[in-house]
Amino acid sequence: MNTSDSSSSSSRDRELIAQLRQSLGMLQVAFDAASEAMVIVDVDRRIHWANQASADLFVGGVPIQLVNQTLADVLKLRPMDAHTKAALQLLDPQRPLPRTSGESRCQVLSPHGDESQVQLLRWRPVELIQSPFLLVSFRDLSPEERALVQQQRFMTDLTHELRTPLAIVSGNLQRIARLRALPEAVSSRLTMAREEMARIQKLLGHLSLLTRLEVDPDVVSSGDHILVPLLQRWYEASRELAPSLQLKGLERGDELVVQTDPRALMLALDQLLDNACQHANRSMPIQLSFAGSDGLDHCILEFASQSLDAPVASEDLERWSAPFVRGKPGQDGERVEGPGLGLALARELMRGCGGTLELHQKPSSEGTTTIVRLRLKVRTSNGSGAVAAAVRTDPA
Amino acid sequence: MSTPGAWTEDRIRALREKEDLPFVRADASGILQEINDRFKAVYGWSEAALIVQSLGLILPPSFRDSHHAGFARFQLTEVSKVLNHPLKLATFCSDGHAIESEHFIVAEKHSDGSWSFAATLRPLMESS
Repeated sequence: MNTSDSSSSSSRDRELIAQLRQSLGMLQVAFDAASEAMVIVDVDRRIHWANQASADLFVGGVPIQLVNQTLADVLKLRPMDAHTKAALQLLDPQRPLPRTSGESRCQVLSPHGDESQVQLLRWRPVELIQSPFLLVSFRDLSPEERALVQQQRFMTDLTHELRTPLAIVSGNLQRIARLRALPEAVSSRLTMAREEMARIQKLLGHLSLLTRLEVDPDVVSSGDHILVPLLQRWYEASRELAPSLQLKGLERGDELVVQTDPRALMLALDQLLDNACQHANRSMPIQLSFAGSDGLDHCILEFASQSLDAPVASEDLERWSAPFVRGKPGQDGERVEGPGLGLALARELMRGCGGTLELHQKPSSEGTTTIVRLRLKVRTSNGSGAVAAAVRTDPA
Repeated sequence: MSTPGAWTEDRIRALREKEDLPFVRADASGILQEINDRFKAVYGWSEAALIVQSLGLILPPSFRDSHHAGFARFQLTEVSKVLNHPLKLATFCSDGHAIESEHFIVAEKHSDGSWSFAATLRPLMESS
């Protein structure tokens, strides 16, 4: 290589280094522009890379001062949801790095115990060839989200506190009911008290689940399932409770695979059936049918029940799926009981599965048909044989 | 973000002479141009080993990614959080161990638009 070649090569090297430096600088500018605090840690939980927001959150604003410290050196976590174990493992170098992404709502505390606002902690594996790393981010939740978290904590605490005394009252009522020769008036009041107690316990369970569904999407765990066996199983389990229940049109959905959590779907159908039994005309059929596809990526189930009443206004219908909506006075002037939490819970369960729930009404020859339309996400087929082999049919 | 304050040759001199502290100076590309005797005595480096080498050499290897990225970002934005205040950082010695030191880093923009950087280091304790 002569002097001229060498000089040209050296110039190209300098140009390349300048370009690489500019690229690195741009990446760091982007990393620092994020409002989320982000760090990248190794298996020992040592921080290799930290952005500006993480430095602001943990060490007074200089990112390089976070480098080489462990997560446990700079923070403590107080998880506020069901992912406590997974979140706390992030700080423990004795545990392997998580291989899947996850998130948890938590309070972040400095090693001195000062706590930050509620943060959404997220982690995501960064699988490099040499060794695994983990990207950990912290997002300050908005005031609305914080209020929701506080509401969830309140509801969780409340339902927990109420469960024990209610179980005691319920147990005592049961013991009294076993006594022989109770006067008929006492027995009748006792039966009423036990029914109301069962109702309170059911409401409490629904309220607790509804609150969790609103703030924690992981309560529902969707997977691929063949729809028809799920519906048949639910029908078999439910027709004793509602002899007028009918299942229709399943042949159109044969081998259709949907993305759902079977427990959530069945619980949602239970709520619809409860409501239908309570509010519809029991001498008329209650029908669950497969109504085809929406032409996009959802299939449609229709849950129909009949009543002798006239249809309600569309805005009233929409309110039915809000919690604790009270019904309007009936013909006898008595206020009709509303749908309670059932429709609200069913709607949240469907949302949790990636679907929707809508209410419709249409006049029928003898009154009104109320149709609850459920949209379930359909799995994109890659060959029916492969689909059938891949899906799970066990709802547990 | 803090912006670098005015930095003059007098200020370099003052830094260098202040309490006989270890001192380093680098050019716009982060290439070391000068180290003083005190720096050589405390951290064990020779001029032959460091001059015209990257400033990253006097940082422990685990800090170099962050240093290079921060340096590259400064060249694009001319904004830094490390300038003009004491900063506790590990300093890498020639024998491979690190000494926790208080760095005071300053920067000067020249009339041609290029930058120079200088720092005094106050050794605090050996960190590894």
